[in-house]
Amino acid sequence: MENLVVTCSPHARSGETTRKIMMKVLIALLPAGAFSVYFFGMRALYLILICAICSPLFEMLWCWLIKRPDSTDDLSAVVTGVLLAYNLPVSIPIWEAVVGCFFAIIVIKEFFGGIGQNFINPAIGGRVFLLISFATRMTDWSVYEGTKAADYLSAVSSATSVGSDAISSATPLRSDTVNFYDLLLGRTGGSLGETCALVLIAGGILLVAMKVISPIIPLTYVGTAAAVAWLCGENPVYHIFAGGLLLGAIFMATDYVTSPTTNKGKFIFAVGCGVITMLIRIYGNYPEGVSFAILLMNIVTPLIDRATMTRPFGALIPAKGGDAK
Amino acid sequence: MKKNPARRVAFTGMLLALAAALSFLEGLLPVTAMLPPGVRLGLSNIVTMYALFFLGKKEAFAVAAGKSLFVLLTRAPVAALLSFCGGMLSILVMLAVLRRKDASYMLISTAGAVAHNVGQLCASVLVIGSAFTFWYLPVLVLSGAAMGVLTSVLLKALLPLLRKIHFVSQENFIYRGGISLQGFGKHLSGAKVPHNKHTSACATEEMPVPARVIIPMAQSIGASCTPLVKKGDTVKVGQKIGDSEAFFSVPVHSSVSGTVASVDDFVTASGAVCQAVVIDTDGEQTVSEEVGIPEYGGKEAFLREVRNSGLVGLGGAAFPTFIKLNPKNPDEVDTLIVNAAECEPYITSDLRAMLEDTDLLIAGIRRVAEELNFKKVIIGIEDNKPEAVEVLKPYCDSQISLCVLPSKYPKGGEKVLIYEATGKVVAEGQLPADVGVIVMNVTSVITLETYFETGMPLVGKRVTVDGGAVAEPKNVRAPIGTLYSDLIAFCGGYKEKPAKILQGGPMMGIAVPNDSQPLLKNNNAVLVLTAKECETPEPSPCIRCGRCLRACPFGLMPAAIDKAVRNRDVEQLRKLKVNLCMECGCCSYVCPASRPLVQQNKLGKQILKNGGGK
Repeated sequence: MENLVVTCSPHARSGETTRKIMMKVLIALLPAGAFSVYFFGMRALYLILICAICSPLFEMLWCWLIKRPDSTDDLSAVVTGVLLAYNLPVSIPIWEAVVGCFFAIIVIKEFFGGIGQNFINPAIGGRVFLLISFATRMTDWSVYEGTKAADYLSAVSSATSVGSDAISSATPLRSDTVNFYDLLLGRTGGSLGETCALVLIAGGILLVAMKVISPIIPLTYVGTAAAVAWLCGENPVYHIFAGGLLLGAIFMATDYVTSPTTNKGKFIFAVGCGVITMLIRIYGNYPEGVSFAILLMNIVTPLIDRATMTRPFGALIPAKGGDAK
Repeated sequence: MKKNPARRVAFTGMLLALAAALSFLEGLLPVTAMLPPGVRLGLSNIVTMYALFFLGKKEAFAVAAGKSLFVLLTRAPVAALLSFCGGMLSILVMLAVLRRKDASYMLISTAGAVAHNVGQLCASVLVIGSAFTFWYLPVLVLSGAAMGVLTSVLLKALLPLLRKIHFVSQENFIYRGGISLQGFGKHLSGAKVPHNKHTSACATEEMPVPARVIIPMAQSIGASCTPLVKKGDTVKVGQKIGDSEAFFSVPVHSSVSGTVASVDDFVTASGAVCQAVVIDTDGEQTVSEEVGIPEYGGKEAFLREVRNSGLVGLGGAAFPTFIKLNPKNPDEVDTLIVNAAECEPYITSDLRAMLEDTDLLIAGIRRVAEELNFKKVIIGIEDNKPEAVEVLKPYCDSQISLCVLPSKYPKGGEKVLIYEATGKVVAEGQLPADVGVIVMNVTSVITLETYFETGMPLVGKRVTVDGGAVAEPKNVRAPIGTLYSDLIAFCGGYKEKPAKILQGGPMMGIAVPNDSQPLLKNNNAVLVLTAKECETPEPSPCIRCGRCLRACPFGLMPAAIDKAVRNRDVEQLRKLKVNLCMECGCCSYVCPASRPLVQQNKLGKQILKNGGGK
């Protein structure tokens, strides 16, 4: 018997692949997507689908441009697209959403070397980019007549910017008159994916059960935010369930590439996110601090990683003066 | 890191921004209002100090000057002048104090802070034009001293963290000594590898003597043997056919009777080149006259006989047993651990040995324990071998105990087994004997006892032949030197064309290029795998998921090692302790991107060795 395959050990693999992990994330994101379509109407579906399709298209285009093999079949671009869509208000013009996808995939991800090399979460980068570039549209929480959202949300101001069939509403972070059950069941305004706490938590539990993420980051992030809110005299429960905290803590802060690898590092990262989020929400000008908090902590992640390196079993640490060369 | 000028400039800029932010921050703090006029907390002095200590004079001056510019832009020209004078004098004084070799951080910092205040005072005198202001001096000196102490304490506290994120050079930092143990808990990590123990119930079958055997001279760690026979010689079973004068060597014996066909150069599966004796067998299996029950008295004679038996570590390591049983500190070694874990998938040869040769095992344990004064014997076994546990339980007494471990690969690794069985940590550079333990594989003990009871040296092996491409997987007893092709033919031949044939298990075994490989002393399995069984997807980029570092039993960071190897970063490889890697394969096994992590670790070890590492 000749011509056998000769490789380095080990000769078996667990069967886990990047693509499978991304599929699991998409499955966990499904409940939130289904709810957003139910609540915000068909436009939500168009937005999500367009983002989910444009993102891998941009990645494919980039790979073609730089003459590298197509990397889209690990589905990471699809996840980025869907997450970005979940961060958008339902009334945002489609072209702006596409521009956001372009920025997230091409600038944040591909410019820096593709998957594994991005310095911040592409979806967060896309959202912040849109927030800064199209501030009005990104904070226009108008909903469409005939959708469930319109039934639940009363018009707070009639000044709208998007079409005549839209009803304006405020994101709950700006209003004080929302009750807990509305927040839990998603009977509030906000971006596509952030409104219904229940489906997000369900997705989070799914992710932990499928061993995709460790519960450290979501739990610590939410816990820290609640603690800071309480210390500053705000209602912690309200802050947890209103706005994009759950979406950010469960799906965006837990991105592998931009969060620390060790448990200690994850903890530090999540505490930082929680503190910055609440500081921005309470003392800052923006109603929503999650995107900036995660973005800032993403940038600091390499430092956290270096500071929380594992201590190998039986490793000797030099007693004095570091290593002699 | 700081050699690159662009990086230095960028880093200095960063420090400048930090100093400016700190100086702005202290203006906002309610404390400032309570302080007497002209007194600043001096938080930005931490940054200036850091720049002075770890970057250089130029950078420190740049930070101080830049901060004054910031004050000019945000407050007033007078304030800027004060800040500038204070900053410059402070740095000059700190430089003067730094000339003393024994200056502590506190002394330098206090001197700097006082100088800063004095400088500010002098500047304000110039501006106001009245010398009366000098009466303020004592206040400023005192407050400067206080602030200096505070800033030095802060800097000292930050140093370990700054060291870890590489912002502090080696010479300025002192480590705590000691061995790292933290966070390992009762069990070490590993990977849940499927057991595939299809041949557990297959009783060992004795194979008919093959027509030809090839016995390599290099079958142990250490020097390879020189052949003692030449072409045309007659050899008998148990006859010594290779030996070496070197200390680190073990003799090789003929496993068959017949005629030497040739003595050729031979390349082993791991790439080593040695001689090999090719024997055409006559099928008689005549036993050599050299073979006789050994007589010995005392430890030295015992160890000499262990060497004569040709025994090496049969768990796969092939370390000369007579050397392992002779540690430098025999009085401190009181525990024998018998490694019956057999954690690799497919392999069941040790299991069958325990079931079929139980008496030899127990007698061997008792003999070794007596000769080498072991007070305790622990048999470490995985819980996926309940039948063996049942067979061994009756033999447990005050000396022998059974330690049943969860079946998570790689519980059979020497250091892992020692930790799980006794809680002791074999540190970097240590041997098990240094923690009072010696580990022997179950089959090694049985082979040793066989030699002492019958005089027959290591000439035959129990080997598991398994895999989807072989017709009848089973456990076979075969002479050393039997070719794989003969082994596989005895097991029903090929069911289909295999993708890989492995010498050993799937996690640490070596893939061989053809089936003309001989069976070696430390060979426990021949796996004939179909393409599907050893399917390995194309590697893709690392997604930093962290599965590899969670799977590593020794808490290494394979993803970081992979990056350091790609960058040929010797310093980083030393910090990552790549030399501790036992190449168990857990990291590559769990990696979703199918990255060749073990391969990179092996390369990393080479790079570290060649890069002048310790």
